[in-house]
Amino acid sequence: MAKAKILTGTFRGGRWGSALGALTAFFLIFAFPRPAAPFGEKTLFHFAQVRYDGGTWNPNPTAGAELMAFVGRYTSIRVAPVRKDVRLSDPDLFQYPFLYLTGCGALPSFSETEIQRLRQHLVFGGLLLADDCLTDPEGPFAKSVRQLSERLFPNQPLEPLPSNHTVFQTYFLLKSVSGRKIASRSLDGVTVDGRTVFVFSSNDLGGAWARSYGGSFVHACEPGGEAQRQMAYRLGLNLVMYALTVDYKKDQVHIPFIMKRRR
Amino acid sequence: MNLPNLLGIDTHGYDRWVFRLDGAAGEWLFILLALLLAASAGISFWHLRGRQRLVRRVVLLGLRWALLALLLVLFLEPELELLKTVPIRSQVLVAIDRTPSMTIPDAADGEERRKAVASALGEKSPWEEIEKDHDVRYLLFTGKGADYERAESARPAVSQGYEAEGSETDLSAALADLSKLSRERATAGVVLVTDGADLGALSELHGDPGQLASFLKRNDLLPAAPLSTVRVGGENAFPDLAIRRVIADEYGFIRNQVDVKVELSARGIGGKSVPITIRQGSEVLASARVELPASGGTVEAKLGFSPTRVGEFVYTVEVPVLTGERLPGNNRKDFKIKIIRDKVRVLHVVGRPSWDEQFLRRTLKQDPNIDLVSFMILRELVPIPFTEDELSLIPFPTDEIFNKKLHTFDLVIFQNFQYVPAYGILPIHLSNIRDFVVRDGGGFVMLGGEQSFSAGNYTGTPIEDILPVSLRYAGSLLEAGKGISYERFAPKPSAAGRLHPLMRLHLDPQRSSEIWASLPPLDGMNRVGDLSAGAVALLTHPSLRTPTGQPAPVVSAASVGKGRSLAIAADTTWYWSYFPVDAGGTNEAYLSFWREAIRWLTKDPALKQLNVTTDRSRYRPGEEMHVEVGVLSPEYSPVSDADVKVQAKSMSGEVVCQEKARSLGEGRYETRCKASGAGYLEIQAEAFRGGISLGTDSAYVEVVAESREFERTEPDGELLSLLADLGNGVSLSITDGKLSGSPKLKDEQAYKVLGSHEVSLWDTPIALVLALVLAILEWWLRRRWGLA
Repeated sequence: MAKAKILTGTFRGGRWGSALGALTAFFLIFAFPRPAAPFGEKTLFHFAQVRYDGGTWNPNPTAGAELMAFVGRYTSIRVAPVRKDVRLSDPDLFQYPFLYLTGCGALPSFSETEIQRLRQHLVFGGLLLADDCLTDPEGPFAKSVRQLSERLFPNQPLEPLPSNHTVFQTYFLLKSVSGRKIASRSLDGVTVDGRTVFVFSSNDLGGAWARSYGGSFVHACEPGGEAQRQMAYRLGLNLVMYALTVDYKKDQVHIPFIMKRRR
Repeated sequence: MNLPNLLGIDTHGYDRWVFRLDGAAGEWLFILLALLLAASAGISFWHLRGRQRLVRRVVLLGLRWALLALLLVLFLEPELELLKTVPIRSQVLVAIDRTPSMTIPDAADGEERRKAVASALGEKSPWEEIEKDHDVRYLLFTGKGADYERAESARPAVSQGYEAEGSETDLSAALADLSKLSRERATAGVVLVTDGADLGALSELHGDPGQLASFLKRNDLLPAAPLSTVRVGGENAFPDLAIRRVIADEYGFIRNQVDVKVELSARGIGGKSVPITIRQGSEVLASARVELPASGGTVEAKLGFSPTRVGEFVYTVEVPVLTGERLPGNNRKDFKIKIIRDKVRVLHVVGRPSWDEQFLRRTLKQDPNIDLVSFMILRELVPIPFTEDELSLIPFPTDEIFNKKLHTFDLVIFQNFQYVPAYGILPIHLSNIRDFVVRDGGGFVMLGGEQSFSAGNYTGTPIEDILPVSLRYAGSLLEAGKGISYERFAPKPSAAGRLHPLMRLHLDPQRSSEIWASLPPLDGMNRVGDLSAGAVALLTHPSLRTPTGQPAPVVSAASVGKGRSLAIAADTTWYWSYFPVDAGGTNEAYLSFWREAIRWLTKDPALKQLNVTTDRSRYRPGEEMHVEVGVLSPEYSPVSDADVKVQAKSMSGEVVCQEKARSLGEGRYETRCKASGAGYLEIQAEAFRGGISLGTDSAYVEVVAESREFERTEPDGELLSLLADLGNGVSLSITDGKLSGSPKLKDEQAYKVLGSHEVSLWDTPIALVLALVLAILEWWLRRRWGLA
């Protein structure tokens, strides 16, 4: 039986730690042969961020690229390094099944056509990650996300995802949620036919992922510091993995391994 | 001195008498009266206790009992019947088995059982002695149930030998006949000469003597004279190993073990160990060794096998023909099982998570008829700075899935999965997958991606052997950096693709073509070479060509050995599911494509173009079988102008019938064939249109032989001995052509009554006077002794 364990260690946060980690990863990745390139830009995994009029649709411009770099570095997923910005009315919306929606204020009232299109997008295979830049569960962004959820899925409530939800074990085994600031101890979600299609984070995941163009992290993570940031990256990666593999980690073959490691 | 003389009855002119109780209406009434009288006497005695001396009590009670007994006798109306008779000869029935088992020879001298009977009947003793005083009727019987037949012959004729014929031994039918004959005239005895190898009701009962006795009584099977049995054949019979019964379920599940129990009987072989096998055609599916009991008897063997194809199949159980065996036909037996599928088991191996993988996995997972097992490579083969406990990753169990458990799947899907030894995949695993398809009839799909086809290192491997496309040309393109095309393109259904069941997105072929034309274009494809032999391109690239100038196959399919394979040289088929939804449509085309692909790959019987049916599943030899064949075109429309050939073949490959079926219209054809032989026949049909085969199909029917006679060959002395006991006769045997003793016959002389006279023993004044005297005497004594 082959084991894919090649090297183990701990990831240390912090500026120098990150730089050292990135350098090490760079060395290791390029020191090993990589497969041929995929079928072109369209077939990569894109971090598609929803652009809308009004409010602050892009408070952390580098967040998506940072997450994609993390995903590309540690998983076999082929990622597009550059964030893709899409509007719900864009013709190529369905080219990007994973959507990221963030903001620091209330969302605009999307048209009924946009809502219907987004509903189809999610129900037939997509996933929407809403991320509250304000980290305020009672703030305007959170309120408008709940309204959006209600319009999209009037019969399915946006409710906390249980701690044994697949999203907490798709790649990393996570015990809690994370983000720039821990405003909520859970992720909320809407599940349709057994697949969670809409995830809402109140903890500003993007704020934790974002770096300045100089390479340093833009925001401090409270109260857990760099360890909390590391968990935010891991949660982001798990969400991407969930979008692509859905309930794979709930397959019977994984259960004994995961139970043993969670003990 | 006899009773009539004692009673002073004149018996002149009569030579026999019979005592009878005419008044007894029934046993129960007699018992009831006796009890009432006894109770009455008891009560009288109880009344007298302490009031009289014992002597007086006994006298009074004696008088009372004498009176009551007299009354009881009067009630029973005894009488004597005086008879005037002349002696006659009674009959003796000798029933001789002439079923086919009587042709079985004994080992001692190689003489057939019927010849042993003829020899025994040719002897003087005991027949001449019996014939002197009785009319002996020699009856030859055969047949079972309603087919029972009896023929009468003379001893000299039988002793010259007789033909064995008819169907099966059924001793209950023979006994019913003998019982009836024995009641038609005076019968001194019945002799049953047989090997006892019964195939009727008695064979099921003789293990329980109580049940056997009850069965014989209930059905009036015991003759009105002693029943003696003569066993023919014995311990010295030739050695025989026979398959008595095969017990298996009518249905089995594909890739699940089918259990088969085989009951063997052995005689004269000794404690040998013999092999037993189950085979399908020439392929051995299961084998075991069976220890035969040293003293002979039956033994059970258990075998199991896992069928790899769905459908109805005939299997053969076989044991070797041992030295000295003379009935090789009972050393094999065929049985039929319908193999069905409960769920399609799919092994989905994914090289990296992608949208193409997500859409396919969800499609497979949502299908209730699919049992999906997935493995995905979630990380690259590069070091990562996390401990095992931080990750949910599991080792890739290559040996488990590609070696030990591969046979449990119906379909294997490789999706952008690269052949790299670092994953633990060995060349033997790829060989196993090829065998799984070619030998075991499994399905295989390769989906595209930058880690697939030639880019996945499959060129020259056993996987290339089962792909519908060659990878060698693509390998050279890969080296030149052209192994993958990055352009967006709209694949086109090929001419063959438009007809293929796998491509049917709608029942209406025209609508299906329109749907294909409406599907979104794909992004990029793996360059592959020409089609493999027998493969068909279903979707092709609009501009790219193979080395021979054919349109580059995007989706291609092939039948490989017993299995099937499908190649999809693209990794954006998820567009077919997702984009039509945005255009106001549905994902039905994508779902249909995969549904039909899985049905085709796993050989869903419903996708057969030919369908053979027969009017019955069992025939007797010589009966006409009505065969119907339904023929569909590749696009599943009825074909009424095809040439349809039908042939019936025995399991040994002998063609017993070959006919051309005539069209009935609407894609239906019919023909008739005569059933012959015994066992199963495979009815095969093949249809051609314009010289091109539209497919084949087959069905199995069973030809039931006239007789199962040779399934049971050993003499059953135990049954014959029991019958003799229950029939008050003796159990005899024939040894060295001689009867071992004399059958039991009634001692008394049979007679014919010429006249009779009845003398009543109760209807006389003496009886009345005696009753009065007893009553008066008791009354007088009671008065004298001061009693009321």
